[in-house]
This record gives sequence, C-alpha cells and structure tokens, in this order.
Amino acid sequence: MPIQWPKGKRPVFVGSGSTMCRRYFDGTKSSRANEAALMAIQDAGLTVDDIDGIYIWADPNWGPNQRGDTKVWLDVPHMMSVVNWNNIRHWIQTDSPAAGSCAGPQLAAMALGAGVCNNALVIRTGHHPAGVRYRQVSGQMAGGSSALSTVYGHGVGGSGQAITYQRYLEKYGAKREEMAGYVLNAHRNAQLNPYAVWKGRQITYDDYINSRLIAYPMSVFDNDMPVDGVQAVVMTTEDRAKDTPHPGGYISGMAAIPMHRSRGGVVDSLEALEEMNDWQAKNLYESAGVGPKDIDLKHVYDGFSPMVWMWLEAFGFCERGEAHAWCQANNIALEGPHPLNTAGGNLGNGRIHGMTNVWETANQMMGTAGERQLPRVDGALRNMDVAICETGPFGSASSFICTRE
Amino acid sequence: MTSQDPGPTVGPLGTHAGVVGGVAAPLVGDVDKLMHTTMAPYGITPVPSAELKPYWDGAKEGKLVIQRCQGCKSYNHPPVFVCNYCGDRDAELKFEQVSGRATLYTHYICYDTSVAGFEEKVPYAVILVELEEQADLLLMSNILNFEYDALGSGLKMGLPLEVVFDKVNDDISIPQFQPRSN
Repeated sequence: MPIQWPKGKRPVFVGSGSTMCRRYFDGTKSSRANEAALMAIQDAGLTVDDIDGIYIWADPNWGPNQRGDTKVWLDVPHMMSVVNWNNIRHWIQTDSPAAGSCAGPQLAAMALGAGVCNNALVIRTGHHPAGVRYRQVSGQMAGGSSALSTVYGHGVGGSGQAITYQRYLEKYGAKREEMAGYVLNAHRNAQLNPYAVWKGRQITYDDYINSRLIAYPMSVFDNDMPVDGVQAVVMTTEDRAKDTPHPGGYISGMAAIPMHRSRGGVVDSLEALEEMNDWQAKNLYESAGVGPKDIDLKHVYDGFSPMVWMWLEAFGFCERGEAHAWCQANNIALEGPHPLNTAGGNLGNGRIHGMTNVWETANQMMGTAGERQLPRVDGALRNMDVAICETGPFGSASSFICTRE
Repeated sequence: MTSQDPGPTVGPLGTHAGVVGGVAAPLVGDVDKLMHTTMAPYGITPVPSAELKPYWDGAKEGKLVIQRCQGCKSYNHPPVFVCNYCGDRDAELKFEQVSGRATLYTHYICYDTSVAGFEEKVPYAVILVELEEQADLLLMSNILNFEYDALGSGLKMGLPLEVVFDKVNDDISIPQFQPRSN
C-alpha cells in the first residue's frame, strides 16, 4: 500500500546547507554544524525560531580515535549547543545501523506527517582532524563473532566490499576497469559541486587504474575519502511549504533494508545481499506506488564503488549482473538519460555517509542545484519529477522516493 | 567557512603501481608470487564468547565444529539462538564436526591493514569458503600452501579446499584453508 499522508501534511524539502568538505579540518564540529544548519534554515526562508524538530542519524560505530573527541558525527545534545534554539519540541537521534543518512529525512517526514513538529532540521557531520588514522583497528584481542574475521587480517575500510565485489566480477564476467565509468563520472559531477573535496581536481582513467591498492580489486578511488564537512536539509509540510521560496521533493515512499539474511560479525554472501537489497527496493516502490521506470533522478550510496552496481540492479534500473556495462557515462552523466549521484556522491563530494545524496536530492527537487540542475539535455524537454535516494551499504541501508510537485 | 574558502586540501594522487607500506604491487609485468605456510605470528587472537566457545575449543583439538539444528538439520554460522532456517524454538542446536571440505567462494588481496600482526604481511589473500555441507555456509580464512599472485590470479571460485589448523599457542588454533590433498 502506498503511504498516505494527512491532507496538507506531505513532507517536503524547503532548504539545504553545506560546508566545504575538506580532507582535514582542525576547527570544531560545532562551528561547522552551525554553519550548515543556519545555511539550510536561511535557504528555507525560515529563522532559527521556526525550527521545532531535529532528526539525526548518529550511527555510533563510526569514529576515529583522536584528541578526546571520538566521534565523526554530531549528536542531538551537542547540536543543541551549536545553535541558539528556542522552540525545539521534538527530536530523534537514531543509532540504527540499517539506516544510513536517509534515516534523518525519514524520521523528519514521519514526525511532520504526524504533526509532531512543523519545521525539521536534518543534519549529518563528518569530522576528520589531521593526524588521525580513520577507524584504526586497535588491540590484540578480537571478541565475539568479530574474531571470525579479524584474526584473518580482515576488517579495514572497503575490505568487506572488496570480497563481495570479487564475487560479482567473477560471477557476472565484469571487469575492474569498467568501474572507471562510475568513478570518473562521480568525480566529474563533483567539479560542479562547490563544496566537494574533489572540486578542482578531475582524476583520469590512468589515475584510477593505477591508484594505490587497498583491497584488490578495490583501490583508493573505490573508497570515499573521509572528510570534514557538514550537510543539512530543512523539511516542512505541504501546507507550510507554500510560503517558502522553493519547496520541492515531496516524500512519497520510504523503506529500510530487511536484515533477515545478515549474519552479524561475518561477511554475507553476494546472493544474500542481493536478496535483501531486492526486498528493500520492492518495499520502497510499493510504498511510493511507482516502479523503476518512473524514476527520473537516481541517487544511490557509493561509499564504496561496487555498491553502486548492486544498488542499480536491485532498484531495477538494469538487469542483474549487467550494471557494470550499464553504469557508464552514456547512461549516467548529467546530460545522459539516467543522471546518477549528481553532486558526485560520496566518492566525489567526500564521506558524509550518504548525506550528500540526501542534500542533492533536495537541491535537485527544489531547483537549487546550480550548475548541476537537471534537466540538462539541450533542446529536449525531459521530465525530472521523481527522485530516488538510497543511502547505506550492503545489508544496512534505507531509502526514500520523492516528487518535485 | 565561507564561499571564499581557499578550497579543499587533498593528498597526492596515487601515481603508479600502488606502493603501500613499502610493498610494491605492479599492475603490469611481473606480479609478485605469494605463498604462506602459516599466518603466524598472529597479532590478534580470538576471545571466545559463550556462543563461540565450542567453535574455538573444537579448533584447538583440530576439529571444525559448526552449530547444527537438530530439527531441520541446517547449519548456522555464526551460532544463533533460534535456527535461522526453520525458526523452531524447540529444536536443539548442537555443535557437530563437519568434513572440513570446502570450495573457494570469493577473495580479495589485502594491501592496507591496521589489524595487529598483519601490517608486515601485506599483500595477502583473505578468502571466503563455502563448506560442502550446505550452500551459503561461509567461513572466512586466509589460504595456506597455495601459490597465487599479488592480484589474486589462481584464486578462482570453486577451488577445492580443506581445513587445516594454524596453531597460535596451546590454547588457540586458527582454522585456515589449503588446497585439498585428495
């Protein structure tokens, strides 16, 4: 059954904000969060006093060990001290692993639709000061089921994806070289994103193919760069949105991945992941009452490049095992028929755990995406009315569908 | 930070033939041949949880034991509270020795790790094996006594493997896989 919102209560994006995303930043999380939050609120034509709900996905599993601040993300109690709020009525901070950054807009949408709040801020931080190794595996003891993998020297960023990717390559006859199609396009899109860490530096095919290996068949460019940056969106209800400058992106469906075939602490099989991914897609489409052919704008999680192929297949944009051929510039470029991750995704913008896709979905639907604004096909009118946004990796993801009107 | 920000600072691009931790991995021409007879010394060792104690106790004795539902006879790994296959709360879950025969399911070659004891071993293969007892019954491993190259050539899906136990000390042995002897 498609989601039914109360009359006038369809949740919609009305503002967005982003800081520069940089490799390292030695300032405080607070200053960055303040900047992004105020930018989003101002963009919505609102003031701090209008905001009465805050929704944050704050997965606690992510954090470098550094300087007394163990978190890359910013939680709600911290957020309360960053802006001089006066009218907060409700907030939720979710630690759900089966979420990703889509959890924020999902929570906000449900609260808005239920009338719990009227204007909601959704925000996600990446905090990455210099001199810190991201996600250092420390210690000499591996407890619980993590011992079933860590004792084999497994567990550094991307390795869980690399082992699935290799199965994909062998099973479907794909080649590592084909992934350049996605990665180079993400970096190309990032050139039009003024906040992206890769803005100003377009990598080449040779750069990609010869880049430093991390977990072969994955190299450094298959992994998003941990960055310091904050992105935020403001959402409200349809009845209130008519008074804002550029509402767009009415939430029409949402889903979270079922984890029924996930085995804690060990790597799931490609086949199990595909089954879970497919279930999320089916539930998402049913909740929105649309199908793959209705989707104009595509945002899928690319924290690790192989996920892009698998999400494109799960959401039905191409057949299983064929995304490696489909996901090339002729299809996915901004000028192509299936624009994908138009702000550069995680790989082009930098790692804010999928929030870039949420932020950019809002931008495109609101018509505020600047040089990236779709449609871009010269002389050919094309609808760009329905967007899908998925965040989160294999076996741990959430998604929403929204419409321009 | 404002729009006048001087711009991002990024590290140098990889130039060629990824060099990681002093280990060169040429992508053209000769690729290093790799073989391990053991992965010891292990810098990181398992702390058996209550659920996994039978598994590690079995390994210490040179046996690969996997939790099996006595109702539907399915294997569950890692161990579960209720069988993931039949869901029968009344079915007994018991650890049973398995054949140790498996096939290679997938792999990757690790070039960059911060897992204690493995920094000096890169590059090395991490593999998943599928035990012959049941589809989708996967175990992680390295691969011992098998020559492969630094880009994984030779590691093909379906390669027949068998378990071998890599002794860490009198209390701990790590299940590893090697090509089948017969």
